[in-house]
Amino acid sequence: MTSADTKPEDSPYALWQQTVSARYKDRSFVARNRSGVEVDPVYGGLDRHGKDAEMPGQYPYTRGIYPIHYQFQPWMDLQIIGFGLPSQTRERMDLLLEQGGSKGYFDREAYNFIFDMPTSMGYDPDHPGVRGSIGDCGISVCKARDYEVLLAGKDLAKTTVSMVLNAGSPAMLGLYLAAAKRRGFAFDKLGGNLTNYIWDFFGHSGGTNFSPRGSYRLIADIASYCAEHVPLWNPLTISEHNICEAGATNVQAVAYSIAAIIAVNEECVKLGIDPDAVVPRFGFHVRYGENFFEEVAKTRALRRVYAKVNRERFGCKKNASLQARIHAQTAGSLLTAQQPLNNLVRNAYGALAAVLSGANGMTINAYDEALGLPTEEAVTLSLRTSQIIAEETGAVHVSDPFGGSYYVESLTDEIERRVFEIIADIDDRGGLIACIESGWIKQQVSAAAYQWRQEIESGARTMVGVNKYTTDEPEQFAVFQPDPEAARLAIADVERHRLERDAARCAAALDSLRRAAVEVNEGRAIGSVMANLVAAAEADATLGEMQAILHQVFGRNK
Amino acid sequence: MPDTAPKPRVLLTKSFIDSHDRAIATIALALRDAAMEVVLIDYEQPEDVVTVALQEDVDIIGLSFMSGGQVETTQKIVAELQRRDVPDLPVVVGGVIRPFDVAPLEEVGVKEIFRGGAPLADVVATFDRLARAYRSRV
Amino acid sequence: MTATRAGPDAASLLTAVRGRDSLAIARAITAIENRSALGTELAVAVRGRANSCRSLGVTGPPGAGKSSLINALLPELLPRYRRVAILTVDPSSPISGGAVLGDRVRMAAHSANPDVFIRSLAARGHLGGVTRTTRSVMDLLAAAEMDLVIVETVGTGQSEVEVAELTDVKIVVSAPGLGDEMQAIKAGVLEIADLLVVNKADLPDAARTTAHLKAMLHHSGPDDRRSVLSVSTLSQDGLKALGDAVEAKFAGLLSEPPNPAVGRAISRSMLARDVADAAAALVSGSDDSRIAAILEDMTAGKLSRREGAAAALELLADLDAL
Repeated sequence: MTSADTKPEDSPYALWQQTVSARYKDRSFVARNRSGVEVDPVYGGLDRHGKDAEMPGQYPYTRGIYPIHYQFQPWMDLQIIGFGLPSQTRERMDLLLEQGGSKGYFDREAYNFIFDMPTSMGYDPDHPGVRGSIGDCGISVCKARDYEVLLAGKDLAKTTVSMVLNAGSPAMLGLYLAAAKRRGFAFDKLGGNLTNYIWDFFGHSGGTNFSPRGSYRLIADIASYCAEHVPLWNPLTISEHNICEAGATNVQAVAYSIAAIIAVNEECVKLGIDPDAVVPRFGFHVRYGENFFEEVAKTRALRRVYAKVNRERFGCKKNASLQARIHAQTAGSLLTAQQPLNNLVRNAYGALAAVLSGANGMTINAYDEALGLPTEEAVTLSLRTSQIIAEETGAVHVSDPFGGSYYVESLTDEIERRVFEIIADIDDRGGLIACIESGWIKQQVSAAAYQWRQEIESGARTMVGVNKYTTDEPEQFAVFQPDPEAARLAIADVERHRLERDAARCAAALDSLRRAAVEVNEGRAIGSVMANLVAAAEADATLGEMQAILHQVFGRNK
Repeated sequence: MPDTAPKPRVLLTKSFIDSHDRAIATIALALRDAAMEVVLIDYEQPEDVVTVALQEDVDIIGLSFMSGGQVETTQKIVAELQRRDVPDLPVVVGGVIRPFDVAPLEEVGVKEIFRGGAPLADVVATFDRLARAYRSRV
Repeated sequence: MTATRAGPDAASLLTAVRGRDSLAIARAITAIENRSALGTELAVAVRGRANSCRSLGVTGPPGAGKSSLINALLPELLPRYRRVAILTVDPSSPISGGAVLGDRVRMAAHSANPDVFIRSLAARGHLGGVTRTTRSVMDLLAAAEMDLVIVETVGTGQSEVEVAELTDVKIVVSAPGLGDEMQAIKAGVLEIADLLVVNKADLPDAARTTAHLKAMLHHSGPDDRRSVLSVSTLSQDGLKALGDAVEAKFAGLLSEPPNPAVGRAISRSMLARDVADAAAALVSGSDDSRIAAILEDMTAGKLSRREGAAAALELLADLDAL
């Protein structure tokens, strides 16, 4: 099927066929449904303007970044894991693995670690302000040795490690790389993700995050270091998810995410780093929430806008620089404490929207998160949800199944238009950093959050079990109770660690880190902060000690 | 015309390491829209909350916990309120509060616990009632 | 500590205030801000005390970093002026009258310092960047034996001249990249400044902003009383120099004659407010038949709003007759 003005052999469909047969030879991706109908891996046709529609794997990647997606490689399930001490989390990891979870691409094991708040923000458990939060919603990790416990016996060359954390990100990567080095793994074999949410769109986080300007400089440092030394590592995930969870609309969240990419790229260009050298390893963390079709359309718009911005604004040439990789997560802020089993259904629809959008990775929240840390049963049900979508529903047979839908295509175009409008507005306001500094972004997000809440209050928006179909009977659910001893043990452990290490060597490594940080902050070097974080972690410096130096040099977000 | 009607004064606060500020920001706007004056801070030490509460002469303290620490922190703040001679200043707690947190929180005298999904109107009414009751007795 | 039990009795509250009891100070401020009977009594009792205490005004457009600057400057100021009080003013919602007061989140580092007293105030509809009773609150803080009172204004940029009447030394803060907000500085706040501070001097555009401000100063006539300083709250550069400059300004207050430009700006602002107050009183409080006639004509659509206002203003000249 082709429109009149394209030669059949140049049509997107023909080009797609050529790519697929070149890449996959004679392999067939046709599925057969229960009625015996053969189903192609993707369908083409004419777009809303009567032109030949773009196919998956073709610029600007509205329909997905691969010509063949789940038919060849299913999404990676990354259930969030982490609580208490490294040894306690390790027990939970072994349980997940037994149940068929933790599967990464190409037979790798994959873990998505979440850290307790002190760790996430870069503080050691013995910092006086963090008592009470240690090990209480994630793992407490503050030294390279903790990874040797957490990942004991694992082949790190075959393990994908994702780290979800905020300002503590740079120092945390230092700890992991130092641990890998001690165990003899070459850096060019290590794969994983660092969220690197080291700036903060929506709050001050009490000054624990880096100043917006310092953040972008640090991101450039880590990205350029990884591009050279840890080429399989993804050093930056832009969190559309967190912006949404803070209350932004989908359009705002996509626009601010793209604005963040623009700010990172501008920082790289300023420092003489070719965007094509670092951008291919950037990715997105996207939230799948309450509006099924809007979630699909925003994903398609995000991929399209990302490709256009990187090509047209930054001159990126590599295909990988134009392809937005997306890790999906269902919406935590939609999980309710009331009738918590309803959350299973919400999560399933969110996850299905992510799959029909062509997400590359998946985290399905536990249904009981609004009650506290997930129970083992809840974590298992999240994994089962993903497995049911992947292996029972047939949703994986066809890529971008909504492509060509009048509704979804029109919504995709409209979201794209509005996203570009916001980006232009941010440009007019002096760029994203200026907008974070002036508080403008935070005001926009808070206003959207407040409006959402008021819609719930007025009943204009329904949340089943919360403002409609409510029940009175108290519901008793098992809630995971963390080990109250974890805090005491973590503190004792870091205190012992400080006594036992080679103090002079550690102090020298921290001095060297400070000098490198000053140089990078002043624009005289790039990549050396990350190198020195690895060296300091190897010399047994703790997360909090390294963070204190970075905070002093790069400033806090106040 | 300048408005001089006394306004309930509220201190809303969360730990400096807790990045989840959607709930606390939303509550702040709702209380503002109910004609209250809301002081927002992040604390590094639980005791700082009491110093700020005294200087700001607030009528109620609201603590937000989205990432743990609720029991230990609240206990410390209540103890400090007693030490600084304002044991009656009402404290309410909101966020991810687990069933086993409730008893120790109630034991130290927390006046109300709000979980996700608590109707905003109820939250506002509770702050207003507790704040006015406190103001009228001092 | 007995402020709780001191109850609404002004004399015992004042005793506790003089004893530097922070809850007593806080409750007295609340009473003054609420203009309650107790507040009025307190305000009268401490009237004029602020004259014996140094005061520093900090104003400037949103995003310039006023709170961060105060936070960073405090370590410079505390050794020079032992007990420091800070008043930060935020706008009230014109609809509900409530307010979100978020400035002190940036001053958390000083929360536990017993020599620092911070109080967040809501403007409650008062224009001019401060509250209606800020003067009395400053008197009270002086009575509590503060050595320095800092007043941070709302920061809408324009018409925040009132802080100049209240404080001895005025800092106007700006920062690179504020664009339109800079226009606000030009539009009248500039002349009240004793010290113009370019914050965020670590940013690339800082030199240009500084040069721009210097040119504006020069343009408004030769004036060696005012200077432009650059400061970075991140790198801490320039803070000592700013602390020194503030100290020199306080010292100079005794020896130098007042700056006529500041005097004119203050007079203009006071005049504008007094005229507005008189006009408002004329219209809202009067049963004069001529006002009634204007109102009738406006209601009937015979006079536009503008024409009505012009007619009422003419009556102002005849105040005595009303």
